[in-house]
Amino acid sequence: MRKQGVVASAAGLVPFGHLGWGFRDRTDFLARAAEYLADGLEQNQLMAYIGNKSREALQAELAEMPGIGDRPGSAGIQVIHVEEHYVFRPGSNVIDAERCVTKYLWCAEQAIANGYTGLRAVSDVTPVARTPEQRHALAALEYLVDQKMAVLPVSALCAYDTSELGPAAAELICLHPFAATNGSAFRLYAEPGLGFALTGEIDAASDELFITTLRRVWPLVTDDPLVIDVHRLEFISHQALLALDQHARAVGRRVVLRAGRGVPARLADLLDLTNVRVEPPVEDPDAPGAGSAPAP
Amino acid sequence: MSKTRCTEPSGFTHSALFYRGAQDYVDAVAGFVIDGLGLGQPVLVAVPQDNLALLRDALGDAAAEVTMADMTEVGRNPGRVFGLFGAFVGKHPGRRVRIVGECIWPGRSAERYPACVKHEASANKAFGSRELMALCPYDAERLDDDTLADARLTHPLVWQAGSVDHSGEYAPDVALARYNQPLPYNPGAISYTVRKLADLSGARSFASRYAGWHGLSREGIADLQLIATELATNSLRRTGGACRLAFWPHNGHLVCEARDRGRFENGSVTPRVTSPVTPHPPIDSELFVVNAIADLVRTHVTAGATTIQAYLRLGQVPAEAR
Repeated sequence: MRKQGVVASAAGLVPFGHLGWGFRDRTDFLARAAEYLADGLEQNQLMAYIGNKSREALQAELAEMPGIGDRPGSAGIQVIHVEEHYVFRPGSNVIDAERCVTKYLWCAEQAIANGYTGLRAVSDVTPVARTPEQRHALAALEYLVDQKMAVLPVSALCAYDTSELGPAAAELICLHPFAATNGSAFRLYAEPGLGFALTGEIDAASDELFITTLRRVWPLVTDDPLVIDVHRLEFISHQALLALDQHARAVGRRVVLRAGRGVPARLADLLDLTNVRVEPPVEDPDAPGAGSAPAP
Repeated sequence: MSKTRCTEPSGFTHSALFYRGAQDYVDAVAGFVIDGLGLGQPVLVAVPQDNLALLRDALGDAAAEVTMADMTEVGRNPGRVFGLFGAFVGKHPGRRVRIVGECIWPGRSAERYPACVKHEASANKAFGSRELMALCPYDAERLDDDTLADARLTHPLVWQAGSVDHSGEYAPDVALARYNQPLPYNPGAISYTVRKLADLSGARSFASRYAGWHGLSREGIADLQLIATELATNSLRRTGGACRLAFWPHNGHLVCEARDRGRFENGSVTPRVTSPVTPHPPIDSELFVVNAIADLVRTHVTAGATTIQAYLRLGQVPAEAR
């Protein structure tokens, strides 16, 4: 079972941890980036620092990061402009999720071949998340790359400027196993062997975000039945559960919720769901220490 | 009362049966069931367990063709009965069905009685378009005159002594108004105000801690979280204003109350007949969930305020006396 959690800093996600972070203040972003990169240096990972600035400006930011600029190995951190880092659909500013993933995997292979233990990136993703079309494509990337991060030595801190993106940042932050305290009410992330896992809370405040996220991720998961681990989902509203059932019915697919004894299982008992059924989790979530978040 | 012939009408018919003694009960109810089976109609019988036993004996092999439920359990919360009946109707699309529903019996508690009368009064509108023949037995020997008078208010037809009559007193809105009574508030309650959707998470945490203090199981905590969230969500969606949740223990239950400054469109809270099936359901869908979970749901609606109290059972609570 994959580690996940709500975190107050970017430190301690070792050896890997896919983190979504919303920031209003660039100082906060730089502090989290420094924490994340410092762990990568300790782990001998190949690292990249990506932003919408010139190489010189990004190098200058790295040099001023506390504990990074003067640290041995920091000179090896690659600085890359967002337009070089992401692969875009021809003639657009919308990323091509599948080609991005292919590129990352190639980079990870190169890193391992060159003696590193893996690949770690810090990216201010804001410039490619400004429009609904960009976020739709980026959501696909976040989910697809998280599938790889669940099993390969690759990880990233994906930062989103909430002063610019507003509530839309949550559309992407919710696609990370780790997120900042105020990042998103729930998180959807890849779980090996399953369609995906859900954690956190889904109520009337986040129903719409859940439905948007579901529609974006659904086509990327071809399993039938689609198995969703919800035993760490603390709450789901009946509207959200009905939305899941309705969507499954509309596309003719079945959904299995792996649930413990909490709210999702209770609600499923009460509602006339046609395409969603509940099964117990493979691992007993009530067993001591099972599936516990590291909360670094 | 005016005499009318007992024929098989169409649409929803809602009759009270005033019975006197076990034989009268068996003759009328078993006859109603056998007539329905003879017409090929699915039949649901939801009555208290001792009457269920009488009917099983009287029906013999035919009992196997009848769906039976102990009303003292499935109908502990009268607001849940609509869901039970609605689900039965829904299982037989395109067919006329019969239901025997005895939700008022001697010993039904004073706390639950108003909700029972509201259930009976609301049934006429709630099931109005369905092909359903409902018979509601009342023990005319042991129930008091006021209860029988309420049954005449809430049922357009009354059966007794082998004949069926239109009720001259039929006035369900009068019954709804009469039992739309202010609800008791516990001054020792602890409260939490929900002003916006983002407050729901905090309300849930608050409910969860409160449930923990009272030793609720994990399932019980989940139930109280659902009740608090669904009541507050309903309030916010219906009024756009704040909702005050309050919690207190009462006679083996935890009470979760939602109080707001809105009102239901028709001035009363009618439980849903069917489970909500779309993610954008009508305004009462949250209450379907609350009624399905709670042991009792009480409501009071005025021109400027709505109060809903959901009672969640703390462990085993004895059945109401018969």
